[in-house]
Amino acid sequence: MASAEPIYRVQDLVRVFSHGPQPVIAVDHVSFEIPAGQRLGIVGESGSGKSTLIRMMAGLRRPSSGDIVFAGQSIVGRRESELSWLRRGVQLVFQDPRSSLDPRMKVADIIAEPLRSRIWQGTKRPDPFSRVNELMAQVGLDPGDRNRYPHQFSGGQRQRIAIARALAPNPRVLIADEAVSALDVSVRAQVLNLFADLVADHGLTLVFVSHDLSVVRHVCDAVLVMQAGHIVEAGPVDQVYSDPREPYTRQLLASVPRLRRD
Amino acid sequence: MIMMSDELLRIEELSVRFAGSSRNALEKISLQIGRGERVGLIGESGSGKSLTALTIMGLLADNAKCRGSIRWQGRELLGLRDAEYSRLRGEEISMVFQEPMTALDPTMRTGRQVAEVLRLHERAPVGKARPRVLEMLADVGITDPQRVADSFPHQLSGGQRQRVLIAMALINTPDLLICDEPTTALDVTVQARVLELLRSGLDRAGSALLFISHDLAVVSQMVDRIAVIYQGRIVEAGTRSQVLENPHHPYTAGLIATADLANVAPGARLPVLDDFWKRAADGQR
Repeated sequence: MASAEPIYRVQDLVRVFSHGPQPVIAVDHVSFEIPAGQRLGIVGESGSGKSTLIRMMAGLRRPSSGDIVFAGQSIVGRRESELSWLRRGVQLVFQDPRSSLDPRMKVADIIAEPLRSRIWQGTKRPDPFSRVNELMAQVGLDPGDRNRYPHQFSGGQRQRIAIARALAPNPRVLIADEAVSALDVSVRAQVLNLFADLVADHGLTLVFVSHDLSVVRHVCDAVLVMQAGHIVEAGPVDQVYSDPREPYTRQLLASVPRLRRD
Repeated sequence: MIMMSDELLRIEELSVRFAGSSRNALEKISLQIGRGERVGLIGESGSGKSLTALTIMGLLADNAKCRGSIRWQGRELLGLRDAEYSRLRGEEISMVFQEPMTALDPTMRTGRQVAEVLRLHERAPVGKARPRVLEMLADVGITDPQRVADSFPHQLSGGQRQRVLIAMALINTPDLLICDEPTTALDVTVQARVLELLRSGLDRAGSALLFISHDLAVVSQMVDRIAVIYQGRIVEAGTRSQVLENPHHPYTAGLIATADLANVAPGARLPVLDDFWKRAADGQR
């Protein structure tokens, strides 16, 4: 792994928001690499900068300074028309499938949406009909439900729809932003198992963002802990979980509610 | 056993059906809460747990038909007139909802909103309410009560908004506080702090608690007794240790397994509810 080119290289990345009375440094000189095939967790509280960081990695937000290299090429400073390799290669799954799925679209159209995009100009585009059936089966949905609407599905099923849509263009990287945080605890396990299976079956690189370190431990092999725009701790997930070095990481771990049986 | 005089709430065979629906949304629910007692109601989305809370609070829409009985300190609540219910709500029974942004009025400063609850029930004049409001905000762990009282809800963080709601719910020292997923929208660190404040607030006010959540780990931190609700029915109820150490219903066993991530080896497949339904079906065969 060490000799291979990492799929992501983030160098000295900064993002400042200057809309308010005082500028806010959301991401403050962050550097790290993601080897291809790694399952990387990014953990932190609201406001730690984790969502801003992944939005920049997905090319949805411009950095103030620094560089992001995806699959060997910098994504910074490019026009949208020059980013199709990034759009195909990196897909996102968001927290709340109720707001990330268009309620007026049929499930088949939602899942096929990335296949209709301009990003396919000049390349062979998969056939949407058969691809949707294949994707629905992969995420544990019945392809017979392809003409139904999002509200006819449960929360866990809606998140499966969002995952199927993310897989549609055959991405190399899947970025999940609090993808199980809005789900019932009992449904969370099913969706986490699905992430684990899909990442293994498709050889995906996973970036899994969460405020809950115990969830990250189950799907990731490495973790970055963010606080106030900085990476305060990084390492193999087992080591960070069982032997955290930073007081902040210890505090995050101590906050996870544990089942009390007595 | 709870002595009669210590009993606050007794729900018996409560069923709720919405007009046009062919099945009951709640089916013969029975639940008792004693004075100062903390009870958890655990279930998934759509199980009827929030509906139970709204029924107790008398907040159901007109198209809902209730049968059975809800007795509050010996008095029947089903069929109570709106005016009488309003006096009960906020004074004897109060509630904290999941989404603090929608539960607060976005156009009113938070201090005034807290003061309004106090004034409605204690008829205190505006000027007199302020010191009590600031004291209450400090009690729920707000370090700068003056600033928070003078802020609009959107100027506060999610954790601060939820604290304001808890302050509002406890300011009249209600006999019963109902919390419906009070920390689900919060980060784990903020959740831990809010739960702690809720516990100390309840201790001070001496209020009983009905804590509603899909998260069994959170529920287990807050209550002495647990009732499990599934598809509108209570399938299991008992003390925390009875329910969690020796669950009888496969659904309860499934909820326990999915809530206990710490007990699963990293990288191993996580247990899901279906495993327990299957196991129960195999056992019966």
